[in-house]
Amino acid sequence: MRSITFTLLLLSGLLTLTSCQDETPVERANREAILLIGNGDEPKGIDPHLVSGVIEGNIIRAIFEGLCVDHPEKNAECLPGVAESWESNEDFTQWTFNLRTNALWSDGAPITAEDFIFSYHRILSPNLGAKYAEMLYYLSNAKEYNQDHKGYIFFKADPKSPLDWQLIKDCNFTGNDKIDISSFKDTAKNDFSSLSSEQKQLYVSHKGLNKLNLKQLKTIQDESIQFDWPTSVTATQREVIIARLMQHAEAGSPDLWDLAHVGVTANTPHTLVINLRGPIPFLPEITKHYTWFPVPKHTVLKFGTIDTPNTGWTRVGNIVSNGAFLLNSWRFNHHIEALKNPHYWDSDTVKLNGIRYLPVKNAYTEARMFYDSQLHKTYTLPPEMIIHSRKVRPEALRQEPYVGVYFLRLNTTRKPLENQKVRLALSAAIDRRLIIDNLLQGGQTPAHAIVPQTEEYTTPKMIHFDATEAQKLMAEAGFPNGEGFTTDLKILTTPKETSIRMAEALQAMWKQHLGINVRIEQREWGTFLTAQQELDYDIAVGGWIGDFLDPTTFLDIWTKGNGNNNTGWSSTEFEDLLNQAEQNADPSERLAILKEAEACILSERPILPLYWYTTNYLLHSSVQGWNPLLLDNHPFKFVELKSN
Amino acid sequence: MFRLIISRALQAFAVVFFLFTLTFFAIRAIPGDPLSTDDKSMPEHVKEKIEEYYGLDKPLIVQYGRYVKNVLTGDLGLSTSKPGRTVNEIISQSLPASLLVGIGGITVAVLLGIPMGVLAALRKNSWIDYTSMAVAMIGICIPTFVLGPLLQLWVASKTDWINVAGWDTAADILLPSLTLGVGSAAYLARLTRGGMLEILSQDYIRTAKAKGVPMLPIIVKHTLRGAMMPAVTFLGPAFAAIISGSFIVETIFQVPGMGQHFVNAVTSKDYALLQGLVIFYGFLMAGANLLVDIALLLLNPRLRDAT
Repeated sequence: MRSITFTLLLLSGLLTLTSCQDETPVERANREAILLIGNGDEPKGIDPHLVSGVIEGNIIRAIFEGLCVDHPEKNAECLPGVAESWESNEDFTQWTFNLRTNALWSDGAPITAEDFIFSYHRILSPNLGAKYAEMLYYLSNAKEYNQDHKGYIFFKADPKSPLDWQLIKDCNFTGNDKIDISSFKDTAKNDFSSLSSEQKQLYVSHKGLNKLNLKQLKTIQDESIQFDWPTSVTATQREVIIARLMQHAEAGSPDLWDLAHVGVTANTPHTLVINLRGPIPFLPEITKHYTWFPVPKHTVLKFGTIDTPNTGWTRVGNIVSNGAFLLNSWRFNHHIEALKNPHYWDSDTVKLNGIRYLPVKNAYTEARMFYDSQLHKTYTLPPEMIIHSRKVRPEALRQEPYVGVYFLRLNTTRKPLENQKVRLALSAAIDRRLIIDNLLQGGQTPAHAIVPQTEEYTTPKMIHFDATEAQKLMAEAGFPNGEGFTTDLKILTTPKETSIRMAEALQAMWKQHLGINVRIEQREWGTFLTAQQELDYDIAVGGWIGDFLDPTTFLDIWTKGNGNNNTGWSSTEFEDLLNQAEQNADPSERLAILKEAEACILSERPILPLYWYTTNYLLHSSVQGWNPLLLDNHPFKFVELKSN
Repeated sequence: MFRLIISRALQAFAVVFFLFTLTFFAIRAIPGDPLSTDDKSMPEHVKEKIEEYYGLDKPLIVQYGRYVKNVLTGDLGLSTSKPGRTVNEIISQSLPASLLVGIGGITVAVLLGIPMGVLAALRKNSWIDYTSMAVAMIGICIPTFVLGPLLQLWVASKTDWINVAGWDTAADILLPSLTLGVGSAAYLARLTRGGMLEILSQDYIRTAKAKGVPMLPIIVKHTLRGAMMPAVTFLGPAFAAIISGSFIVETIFQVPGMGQHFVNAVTSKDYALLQGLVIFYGFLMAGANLLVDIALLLLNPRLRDAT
């Protein structure tokens, strides 16, 4: 017995000696000039073309650099990155970027315009599966290339087209998803020839000419089935179209990049010319997003073709990048480390020696780690810790406006949500101020529109809390005091604590002010998304963070068929206004049209905006150069650590 | 004894095979799919391409057959939630941390539990007995997700040399092991006490005492071996408890082990990773139980004759 006690004492004594730290992790990191930041979760990858999240962006921004770079203090200002300077033509449809000649990849190879062309080609490749390719749709013909719109590419983009596009553009190239082929979809995929003529006809019309294979095209050519050609298209034109498509299929469906003439070319190895589909005065702002970053052509091709996903070129040891930092190590659920890049053209400005990203998922653990001096910055801060930090570490608490909106999606294909007055009533019955002050407590701003207010853009003020008006609207809709609502509406939430509490608050408010009952359904993330995509919900919580500082990043998603719409709502008036704005080169006129567009969607109210985000986090006092930025895209090259 | 080992090993294989088959079909029955776990949705043709790449477009039976074939050659497949990585790689990278925390947990359980049980039995019905059994009861009742944060607040935040979370210094193993082991220590204490008391009341112990043998040799040579049996029997399930408890502990203390991968694989529906982990844990559990059975045989000669 005594020997056991003695051994234990000895062990603990030894342990104390060996692991005695006389400095905290933060003190040591300050000494070594390494920034320790919480990054929320394991990133899904760091290939700029294959990811779409904020967590991934935080790492990618440190190890890659685009044409322009974020200013550390001013929103919407562009500093030179790989591009030294840039200019545009009169109506902002063409931009020329002059690349600096001393920009190098981390293996010493020079960065040229060819790398950028390769990168845009890669992210737009139909076969790569880039989830965020639409960020590059501003380039002329980019959307058509990415969506493999063969008809457009062969007969409009290709200058050698034998046909006039205007005459044939109404042909069914892109398919028609109103045609129901679900009963024979699988047979069609595996054994097309076994279908009946009628089924074959339905199938090819559903798919559209762009997606048909050689066998299917043949059946149209030999007229064994009738294709739904527009009557204005002549027999000769039809033959030419089918022949061209078959020629492409017979050749093995080669890459159509060259024929598509997507709007990016190089005049010289260091001059990148970008042609846009319409006037975009803020293009340099967009190039700051990581989807526009260059990837090293020579490295990517070493590990696969241009459109093979997940080849491993981004792994430690393989990766070549051009940013202020280099990927040094990646240990799952431990940390990802990036060290200073000596080949970076501006390495003299970079004061940090490295960054360590800690993927701490549990926000309470993260806050405790910060208090224990293990982190310079937390990724987030749960509501209770916000109050606690205000008392205990007020100097470390940062609450900054963040360009994002939290809202409820409404399924406008379902009764009674298809009734506009019902939607407006639901909106007017929400006391946003109450939710923010009592539930979220993070200094958020109640939303009176969709797009957050910025310096240049004034959002229309169309949303407010008014219980009387809500009741009036509900009565007008035919449900006075909530009578007549045959089934309870269901709010779909994620497993996140705040999301459920939010739903509970809404449930109470709608009961109190409108007399309707609402149920809450919680689903895990994947099922949550699927339910929305399949329009299998009534009301769902949602949020959207802007990708750049322009209202279109919040408005474009509400167009018909956009993968992030999921409300069943669309409006030609709304989309016309968006197109009008896009074609207008005058910045202030353009913003005025966008304001009209926003007013249009708000008057229909397919979504109910609740509040605009405020990012809450803890920041250690030794971190310099970390200023409030609306997009929260802090450029690490300007960050410095000063021990005090 | 050799035959026993062989037969148990075969049983283990059968159980693991059944387990992974069940998992294989169960996880695919959950609505939603592994590829749409972002808030940005994917165009149809892109999704088809990716499904093809991972072999998810083939009929279930074909996927199952392929998977079994690959597993038999040691290839556990590609992870969908960590693109570009193989399951083998993910498991081997995270195994050391889990192993250390697991061994730490078992060590805490044994070093805390057994002496406490022995002491309580020797000083039966004294304040030592009552206190240690009360502490044991508390240890059984407090869940890991309460104990962990409490230790973080009361121990880690107040001491310089113990970090709140992370896996960077040698001391980082202490709190996770403690959190994990305490529950099992409590069970072991009670079981050891019970076993001790039973043996101590036996006639041959009284004979030894009457013959004048001092207390320490009585305990060590004659009592412990028999008293350990309930405790050793419990080590099998204790091992299971520690493994499943490790998921929570790893999240609380940011330990880069396999537990977090398990949870992530379920929420992101990473079929290959989940199946790989199930197979791995299955064999681990089966192996642990086999070792426990062998230990029992060594401890108790009477069992050997029965086989």
